[in-house]
Amino acid sequence: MKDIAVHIENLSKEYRIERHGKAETFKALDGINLEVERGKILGIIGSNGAGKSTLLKILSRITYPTTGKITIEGRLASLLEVGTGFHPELSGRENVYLNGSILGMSRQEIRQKFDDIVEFSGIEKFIDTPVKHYSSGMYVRLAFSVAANLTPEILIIDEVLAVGDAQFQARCLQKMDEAKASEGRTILFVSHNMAAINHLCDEVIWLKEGQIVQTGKAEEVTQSYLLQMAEKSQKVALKDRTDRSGNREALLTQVEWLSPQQGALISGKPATLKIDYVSGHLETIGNLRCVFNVYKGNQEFVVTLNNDMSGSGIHQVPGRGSVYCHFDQLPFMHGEYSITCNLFVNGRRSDKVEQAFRFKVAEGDYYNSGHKTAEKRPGVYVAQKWNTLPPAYGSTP
Amino acid sequence: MSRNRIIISPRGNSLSTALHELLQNKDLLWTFTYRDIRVRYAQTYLGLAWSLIQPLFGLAAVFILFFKIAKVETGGIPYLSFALSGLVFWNYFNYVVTQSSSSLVNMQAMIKKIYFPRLALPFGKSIVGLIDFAVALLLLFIANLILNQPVSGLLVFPLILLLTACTALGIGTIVSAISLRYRDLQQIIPFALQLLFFVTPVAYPQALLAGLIPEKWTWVIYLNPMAGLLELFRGFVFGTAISPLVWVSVAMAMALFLTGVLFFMRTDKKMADLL
Repeated sequence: MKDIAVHIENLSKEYRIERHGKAETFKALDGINLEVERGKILGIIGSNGAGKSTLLKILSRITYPTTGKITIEGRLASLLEVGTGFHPELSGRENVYLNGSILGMSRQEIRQKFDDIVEFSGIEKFIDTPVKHYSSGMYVRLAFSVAANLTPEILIIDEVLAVGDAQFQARCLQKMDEAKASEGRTILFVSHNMAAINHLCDEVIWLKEGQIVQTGKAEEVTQSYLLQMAEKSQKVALKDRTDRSGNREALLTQVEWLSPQQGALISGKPATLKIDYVSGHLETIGNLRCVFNVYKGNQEFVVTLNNDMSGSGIHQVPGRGSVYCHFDQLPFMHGEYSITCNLFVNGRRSDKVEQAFRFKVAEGDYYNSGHKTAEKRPGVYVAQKWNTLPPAYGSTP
Repeated sequence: MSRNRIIISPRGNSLSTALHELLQNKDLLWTFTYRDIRVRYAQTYLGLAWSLIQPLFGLAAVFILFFKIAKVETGGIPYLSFALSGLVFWNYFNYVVTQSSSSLVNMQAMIKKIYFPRLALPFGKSIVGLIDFAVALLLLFIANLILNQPVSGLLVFPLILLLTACTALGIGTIVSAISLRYRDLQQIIPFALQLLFFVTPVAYPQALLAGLIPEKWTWVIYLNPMAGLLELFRGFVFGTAISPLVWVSVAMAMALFLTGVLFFMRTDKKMADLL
């Protein structure tokens, strides 16, 4: 017989909301049925508002369901937000005790683990300083360290890996790995970090509008989730933007991604950027130049798309039309990008729209190497070849 | 192997589960208490001395107002002893009602993020108040010694204290739960307490109040638990008369407590959604 740690039956949660003066009910969760086996790590994914947080809140008894029942076998602790109950006036040491007992540890338990907690946080020197003098990084590290040293049988984690620097995050992942290895620990883990989900979870559920749309092995579920997320048409109208500069000989009206996957962008797969422009008075445009700068997030420059630079001049085109930028293999890595668009007519800047639009790229096998790339940071793939042979032009400088 | 089993259903926790959990989490109660005390005196120059200064100023105020100006009669008991015997419990009552009433709203960030026995918040305040209470009681003890008043009767204080705590927590739990939805209530509390202070025989004897209303309505005074509790305490300490009507006050104290906790439990499962 299977040893079930968490058993969820027909769970629903309704919120009453007021809209236009009328009371409406909104189903945050709608008929969830789920069994989590003891010792397993279950990942929960879904877009914002899918019901993930509501589910965790009910599991950790912060709020109660409208219908249904959950049976939890074992001691449960939840890390919905690290550092809950921290008080700025108290020292790090006092806050460890405070936070520990709020998380359900007895004073004796905390005393036993105190040294581990402090060591893990790496702030031994400041443990007797009031936390109001801590940097936000130190604060979060101490808070997470308390949580990481909890030893409940069932642990609920929500996005804690979004905290701290890369090094600290790596240690947290390692700590979770240890937790996974240690016998009988059941973990429910909510994250937007698909790499972490794939790495840690045995099973994943995908929530959408309060219902489970898919349950299965981590890789399978995250893959179909990512595909679905990317499958939104990535088209942006620019004609109504007023924050633009240039002499306005011609204006950009719309930018749209086309792909064989209904507009979904996948690394290594074909994709085309379609740019619509219109000129108020020119019948034909002698020379049209597009300079599209791609940024990672909002600021960091990644690459520029420039038809002149790449040797494809656009001459004598109609005053209204479209220009296409084709990629046989989309070189962008998994992530989100934004583009600042520049349009030049006959060598003079005609239109410029900063942060004109954003787009998302789902991970894909750019190099056709057979394995999925592990790269989760936005960036670009470049051609590369590896072997043990020196180059034909010799190995000495 | 027996494991801790938790069942989550729309009905929420029962009263017995809640009290049981509260007892299981004694450490949490102590931690809240410790935090409140530490935070209260953090960065204060006088620190614990404030526990002494506050009742002394309160005493000076009622001394001038009721003794010097209104010239109330206390039946041979030195006014300082008399007033202090009332203020000891009144100040505690006042502190616990005020603090527990705002305990939920002040901790809303935590309520929204984590589960813990919510009752620990208002209940913790009744423990924090004990420090001030102890200082005030010591003051009363010293005053009685100096003014040649009996001190042995003071030993009845645990009983009166317990009933005062019940009353204060009863009010505090109700107010804290309601003020999650209607914050207005928190605005009312300070001046409601001030009004209550004047209609409670704290700084003047009960007879003064009873003289204002027809005799058959005297029992109404005892609907205010603090009235009966102070009469009971003074009866034990100074040997003054205790009316059988104090039972009304004792019953009210317990009824308030039970109503408060039950009401609190009913709101408990909705708390996070109300914030």
